[in-house]
Amino acid sequence: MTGGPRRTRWPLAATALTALLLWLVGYPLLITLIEALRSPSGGFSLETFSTFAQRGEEWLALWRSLWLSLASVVAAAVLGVPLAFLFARRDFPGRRLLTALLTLPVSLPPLVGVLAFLFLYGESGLITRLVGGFLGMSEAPWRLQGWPAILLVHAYSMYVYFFLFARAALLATDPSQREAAASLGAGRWRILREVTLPALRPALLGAGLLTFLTSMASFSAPYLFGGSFRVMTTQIVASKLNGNLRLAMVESVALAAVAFFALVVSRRWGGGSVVAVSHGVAAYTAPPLTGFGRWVVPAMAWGFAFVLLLPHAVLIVLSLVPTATWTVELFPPVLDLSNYRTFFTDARRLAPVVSSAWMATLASAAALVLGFLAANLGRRQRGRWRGLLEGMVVLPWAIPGTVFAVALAVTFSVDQPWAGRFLLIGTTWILPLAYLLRTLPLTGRAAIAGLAQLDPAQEEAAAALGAGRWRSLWRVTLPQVRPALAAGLALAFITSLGDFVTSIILYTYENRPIAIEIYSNLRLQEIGLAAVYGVLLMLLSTVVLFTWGEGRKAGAI
Amino acid sequence: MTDLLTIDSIDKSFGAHRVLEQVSLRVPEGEVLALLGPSGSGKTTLLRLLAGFERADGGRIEIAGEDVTSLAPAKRGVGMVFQHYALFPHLDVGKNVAFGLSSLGFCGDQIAARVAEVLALVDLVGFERRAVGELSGGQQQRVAVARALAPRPRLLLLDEPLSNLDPMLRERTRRALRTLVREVGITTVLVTHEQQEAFDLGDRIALLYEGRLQQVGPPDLLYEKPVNRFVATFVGRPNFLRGEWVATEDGEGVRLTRFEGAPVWPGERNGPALDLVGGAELMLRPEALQFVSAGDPLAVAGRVVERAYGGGISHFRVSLPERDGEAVEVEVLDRSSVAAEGDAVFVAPQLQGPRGRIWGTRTGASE
Repeated sequence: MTGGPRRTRWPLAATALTALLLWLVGYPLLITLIEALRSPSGGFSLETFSTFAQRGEEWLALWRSLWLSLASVVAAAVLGVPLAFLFARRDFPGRRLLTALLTLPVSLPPLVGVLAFLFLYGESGLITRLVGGFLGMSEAPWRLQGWPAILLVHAYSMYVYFFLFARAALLATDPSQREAAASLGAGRWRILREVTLPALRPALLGAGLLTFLTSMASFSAPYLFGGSFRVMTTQIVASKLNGNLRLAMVESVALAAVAFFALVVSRRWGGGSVVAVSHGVAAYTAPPLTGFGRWVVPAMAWGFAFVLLLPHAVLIVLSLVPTATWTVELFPPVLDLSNYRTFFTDARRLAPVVSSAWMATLASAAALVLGFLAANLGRRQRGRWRGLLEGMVVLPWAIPGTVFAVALAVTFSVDQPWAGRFLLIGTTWILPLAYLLRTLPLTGRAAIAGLAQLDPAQEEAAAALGAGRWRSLWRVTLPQVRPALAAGLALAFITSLGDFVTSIILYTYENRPIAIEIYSNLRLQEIGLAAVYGVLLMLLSTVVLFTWGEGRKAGAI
Repeated sequence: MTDLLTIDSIDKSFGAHRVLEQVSLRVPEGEVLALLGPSGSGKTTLLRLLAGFERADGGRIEIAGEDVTSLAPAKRGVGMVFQHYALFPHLDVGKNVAFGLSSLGFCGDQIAARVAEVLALVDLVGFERRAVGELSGGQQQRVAVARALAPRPRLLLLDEPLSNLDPMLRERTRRALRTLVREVGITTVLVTHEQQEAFDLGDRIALLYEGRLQQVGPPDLLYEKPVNRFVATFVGRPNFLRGEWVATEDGEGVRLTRFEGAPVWPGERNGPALDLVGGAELMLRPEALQFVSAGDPLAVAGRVVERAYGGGISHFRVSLPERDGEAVEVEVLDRSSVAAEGDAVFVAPQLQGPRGRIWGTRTGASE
């Protein structure tokens, strides 16, 4: 009759946590906005904003970010939704294995994916050479650059959101609804249009929002493939690297505003929920494919999986090619382990791996603790406080990593302990902090979702049996939300481990992470070593995601 | 017998909504009290107040003489069986049952022995290693009962303990539960919205409506001597007949005005102080009415509009033309088809058995 264990008290711990989260998440953004409104001489002015507004390239970058993100949503949906229908509604040999393979792009850190695409379809990429050789052309048949290249990478990595969300929603819909519609005389198209698609709406909106926000925040692909095609994230980094921090701040504010606006609009439309799940669904056995389709569909699905796995394969191949041995040949003439030997014997090569490992471990563990505490305290509070706690945890999800990196660079570039600002730029601590902020929504959303599934009577039962708060938390709550927390932790860990977008703005040479090392190797034409790092990240990410995170579950967050 | 549980003037509101108003109850040691009421009556809130999941706005709760009004649930020594059982899905049956024991600081052997003991009590010997997910609904319910009983609580709380079971199983589980609770002899408060469940399990019933206690007493008291219209309606099926209160030689009754000859049907007031100014109302159970011949002094003419054969006892709906077609329900032994639909009959009250109840027509449900 009444809800769960609602406590109207607002204990000290919750106050402290809210303050900490406000300082971590909200404060840097606020400082950035304030600093952006400041003129170089000190007073408040809209000077930088008007500079921004008068420069055509700024508007162009913003416009490109916007349409490229929308195009990414369309491309990802076109690829992901039909696959979801196929995998949810039809049975064929290898369906389970293929489902797992199809989610693999999620586990590839963005920069590694871009690297693999470069090795495959770049000017001297494997596929480019093969096609060129086949056609007898002396030059590459295409150039992997500009918006088509970015869109290709986005579609490759983001169709997974649509595939997973739509598939989950399809599996959760009651098949008897479709049967009811059919018995009422509705044809296939009418059922699709009026029964199935409305049920899919929340999932599609959720996947669309996630794709849109990820594209808006995408940095690796535009940075490496964009060239003169600047989007907002690369524009911000360019301003920052040019030393125009104030302009970078204004650009960050603009990008954050657009992303935040998208979030609000999609919530209005009723989307944005993770995955719509209904209860008590009758078991549905997917009918096997028949006739011609029995052979063609699996063949096409396997072919698609092959294309999806090419990036992973090419990374491994390239990591086996010794430096400067592959010039004009179609296939690399020499394959050996010399890159790995260099990597393992040179302490300087191992340093980035050690840095990334400890920073990712620290950041994701802290994000897990903070995310869980906020979710756990938040659900015991009423409206406003709960909104504040959970909002601070989830907010970084909508804010592009580049924006947070700039915000941290601005906030922690001065030593003003009385104002909650410390000199962290140039120290090893700024990157773990950035990773923590970026991954907080991943662990936080996982914790919120996990706790929401928990029957409040569980904790009451523990209390009635004499268990105190800690015993109840330890013995009853945590064991049951552990799968959700592990999935969130896995995502947080691999996101931190492969981070490029915040690292490029905030890293110091002493604790340069793997992604930075990949990028500098690439610029030094050390292709083989870049590939070795890529393979390492790929393996670590895949293993972590599929062991802790149960893969698909984590991907759906 | 001493009171194990004392509830004294409890008030509870959720925001502006008053859920419980001045509720006072005493439950003697060893008694099973059923909190009965429709949904929204406040019965679940009262149970949650006893368990400590909610705090009262005012009033006092004592268990075995100890004031527990603001004591944490974990410290009350109260066992609770939840509506959906709230078994811990990640623990097996044995660990679920042992959960409350390790809170008490029992050691390994003692725990195992007690777990085996309570599992035997609920007829689940050897179920220790089973996962709770693979049990049937009835078995889960028994594990929940065993888990609540294991730490030997002073008071057992049952929240709609049978509502999650299918009807066939419910019947059987109800009997088993009754036997078990009596056997253990534990003071028990259970919440239910089903009269049959309350009648079967409860030594006494506390009927709640809109946050107020309407009547407390053994089942037959509530059935035979309901204090108001609400109790009469919620417990059993009532006939209400309006009229005028009169004193008779052997007591009192209600004159069924508007009738030719206006017979006086006997009844009894709950208390002498009832306000009868606006007219009186006589409440008669269907089985307190009978079919009589035309010459009976109390006879009222009617016509059978509905007959539902119930195997032995049949249920009739009889409209009374002289009371503008007002209908009464009559339940009689129906061995040789007493009356058929459409038959003209005469109805009168039985003179043996409990008398009808009389109260003022102004007496609201929340008296």
